[in-house]
Amino acid sequence: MNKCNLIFLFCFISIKAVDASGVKQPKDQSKEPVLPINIKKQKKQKTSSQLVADKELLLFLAEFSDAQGNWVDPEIFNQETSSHGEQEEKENEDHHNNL
Amino acid sequence: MKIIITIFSLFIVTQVNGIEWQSLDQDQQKILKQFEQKWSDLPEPQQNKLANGAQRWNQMDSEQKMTALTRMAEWKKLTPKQKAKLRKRFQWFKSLSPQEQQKLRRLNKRFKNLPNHRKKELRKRFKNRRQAQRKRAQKFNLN
Repeated sequence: MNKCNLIFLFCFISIKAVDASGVKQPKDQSKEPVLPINIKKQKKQKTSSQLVADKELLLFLAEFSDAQGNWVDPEIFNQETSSHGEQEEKENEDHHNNL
Repeated sequence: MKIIITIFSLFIVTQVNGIEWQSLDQDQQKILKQFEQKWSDLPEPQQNKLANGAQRWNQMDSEQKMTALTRMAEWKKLTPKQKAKLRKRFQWFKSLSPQEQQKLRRLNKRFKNLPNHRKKELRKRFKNRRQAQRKRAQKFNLN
């Protein structure tokens, strides 16, 4: 065996050994790279400037604004939500009193 | 006399035109860009609402904007009757004292921070309680 053959044999064995160890070889670059879940989520979230308001939304924001000029989330004055919060608070107080 | 008429005409024109496009700040103009051409044709109340809406939108961070978009989607799904009910409820909210408004904000925040299973439980109990109240009211009306 000459030197060239030895080098070739060494390279061949090395590649096979890497394959067998489970280390992934780089695949087709044209395919979308696999991103960790948290990075994917970050990509999905739009930044403040990317979010666009249409006419309907602007009118909606203007309609539900308080005297200070701040938008009031309808959930705040929604009867159901405030009742739930009140009920929970009361139960929590009762629980503490019983203890 | 001519001067008085000119001043009077200018006054009327200003009143009819409502908010001038140039008087809006840069951020508002950016959001309302789509209305620039027809801005002067819009009725003044609508100009006011759009300008206010744009101002609110500018003040919001991305989380608040997302909330507003979600609420808007929910609002669209409501029937005219439900919308009227919510508007009435908002008028009631505005009539409350700042302390009472603050209490409602606190209760809402409290509910929002609860774990999902607790929220579900409370919703279920609230539904049952309302059904019981309705039944009682019906019974009372029959008697």
